[in-house]
Amino acid sequence: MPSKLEIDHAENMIVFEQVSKCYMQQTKTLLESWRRLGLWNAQGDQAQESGFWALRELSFSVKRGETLGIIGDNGAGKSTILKLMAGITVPTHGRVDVKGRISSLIELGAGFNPDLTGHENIYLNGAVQGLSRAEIDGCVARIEEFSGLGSFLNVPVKYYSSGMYARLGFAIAAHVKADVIITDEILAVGDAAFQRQCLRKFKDLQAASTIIFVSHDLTRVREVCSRVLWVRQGRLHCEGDPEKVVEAYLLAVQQERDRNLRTEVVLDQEAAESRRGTGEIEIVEVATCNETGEPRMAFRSDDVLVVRISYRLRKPCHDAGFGVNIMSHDGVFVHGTNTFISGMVLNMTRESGIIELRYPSLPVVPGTYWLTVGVTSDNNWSVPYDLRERVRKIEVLGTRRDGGVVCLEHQWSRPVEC
Amino acid sequence: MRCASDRSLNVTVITLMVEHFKRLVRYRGLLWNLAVSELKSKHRQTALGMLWALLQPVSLMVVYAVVFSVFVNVPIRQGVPYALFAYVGLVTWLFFATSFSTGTTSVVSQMNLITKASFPREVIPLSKLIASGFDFLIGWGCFLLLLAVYGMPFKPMWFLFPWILCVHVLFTAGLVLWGAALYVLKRDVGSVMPLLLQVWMFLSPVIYPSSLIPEKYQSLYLINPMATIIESYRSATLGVPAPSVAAMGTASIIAIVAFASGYAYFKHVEVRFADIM
Repeated sequence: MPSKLEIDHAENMIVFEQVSKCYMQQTKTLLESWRRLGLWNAQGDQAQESGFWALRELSFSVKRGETLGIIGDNGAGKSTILKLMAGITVPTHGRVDVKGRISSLIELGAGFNPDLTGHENIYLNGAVQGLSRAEIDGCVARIEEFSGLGSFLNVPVKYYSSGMYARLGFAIAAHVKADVIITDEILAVGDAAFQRQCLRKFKDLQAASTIIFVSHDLTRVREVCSRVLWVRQGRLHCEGDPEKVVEAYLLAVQQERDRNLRTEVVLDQEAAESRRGTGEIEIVEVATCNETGEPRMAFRSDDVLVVRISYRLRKPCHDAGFGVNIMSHDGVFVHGTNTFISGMVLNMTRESGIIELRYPSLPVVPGTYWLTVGVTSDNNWSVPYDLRERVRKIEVLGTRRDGGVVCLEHQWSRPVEC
Repeated sequence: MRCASDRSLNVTVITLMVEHFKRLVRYRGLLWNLAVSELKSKHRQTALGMLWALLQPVSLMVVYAVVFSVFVNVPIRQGVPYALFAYVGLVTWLFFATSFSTGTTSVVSQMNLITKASFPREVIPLSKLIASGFDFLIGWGCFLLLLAVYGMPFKPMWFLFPWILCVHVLFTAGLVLWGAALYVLKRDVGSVMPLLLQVWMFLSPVIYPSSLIPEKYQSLYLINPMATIIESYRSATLGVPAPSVAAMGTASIIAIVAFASGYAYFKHVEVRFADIM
């Protein structure tokens, strides 16, 4: 991959300038056309309003040698961007400039003719990409070898399994010489061995071409891309370093879930919760907050987690204590602590109050975790005042892919050969 | 001033068309490949394979020959067997009708390719033209055999053949491009097509000679380029009298206009294809 300096001085391969794309509603019958004509006369220009704006004023450029990732929710406009780059469709406003030969692999094996053999489809697909027969002749042997389909190449592709289909599609895609390669979920095909083979080939391609990489596999995006665009509702939300953009995107996804959570998903949580206790002290509410006290559901490993417990007393109490347990999604007990262990004596006389437990960081592997919160007397958890199991769910986000539950600090040495 | 801007407009239209054409030439491999694929997939898994290209016009010829020379006596020029007479009409008509009907629906049926890859879209309908061109070629090859069978001499009007072939192909291509583009925008075209072709066939001298048409309607009748084209093929191969120069000129002009307008219209709406589907 070129160094940062080289990229800065490289030419632009793709330029989007204030690009907007509107998909028009198709009028179906004459009757509908008439009706629309009436509306049109009465209320002015309605044509634009009945369309759907897939992209709005999008500007960015891609330099030679970059691998640009594009992420965003379904329907954010990623596919439209790819189609505009590939020249499959044209922008409603603005300008799209693409230099050099483009190979568009928006769908692997899209142009296959089911009645033709694999071998014949290599020629057909190459021709779709604009290659001459001589050019295809030059690379057909490598394509056939890479696909690993052997004698199946002489069988019509309608008898192929979906894995074989994808193998052939990727093999053709990867061996067509192009300046810009446009890909959509390209590395998610075939079995594990073939995926490894694809990834190796992909890294070769990165050295030679400019690549546009669209995928929902954010780990892969972070791994292969040199820059990432985040598209949100047809607009460029942010762009830059893959780590940062992917992180920000993940956080936003979780926050979006948080917002929904307050209303609907609370029900789901209550369904997951089990509660028991004698009721002398009642846990009214449990909130998971960030450092500034705002309720949150998603946290990064280095974020502060504050568990805020609101309680109500039936009578004054001098031997009570609170406890919080954290369980992983599959039920592994990650951590548990309580006020008795900390040697605290709580003198509670008022009718209600709040107690907070603060975790300065969350050194656990990314994933979903459940909180259990309880209150009891004398550290006797078999007969608690109130015990709310799985009362809150949190998501821990992060880039670490370690296994297990806890992220232990670690460092590898270089191998010492003897 | 006005004149200058008009000229520059014309120049841009022409350069645009030249660009389109260059791109089409670059994708000639695809054009050929799609046509061959069409043939291969059409004849794969059939018992008779390529023989069908021959059987179709020949069996139609036999049917028409029996009906129109035995049951109904169609008066045609002395010395020309009805079977050969009808055969020329059928081969000519089948190329036109098959190209037109398969070409019209072709873009829509290749929707998967259109929305996933970028290439000059006209290669799809034009490849159908080439595919039916194979059958057309085989049809004429078979015609030479039939000439020998009937002991007909090679007639002297062969020089007409290349010209009429150009007119025939241009006219068919123009209609195919119009049909394909319109069918994407309005599927009504698909429902109209069989009816249109049926009526058109009876309005063309496919199975009867144009001399059956009363004199006063002749010039009107020959506005239909297919009438002039079929009659011209007949005079080129069987030596029946050729249509007038005026009729041939009209057919040529209509063919050129049909092709140029069809191509321009197709390229004009082409950019919307991927959005509409």
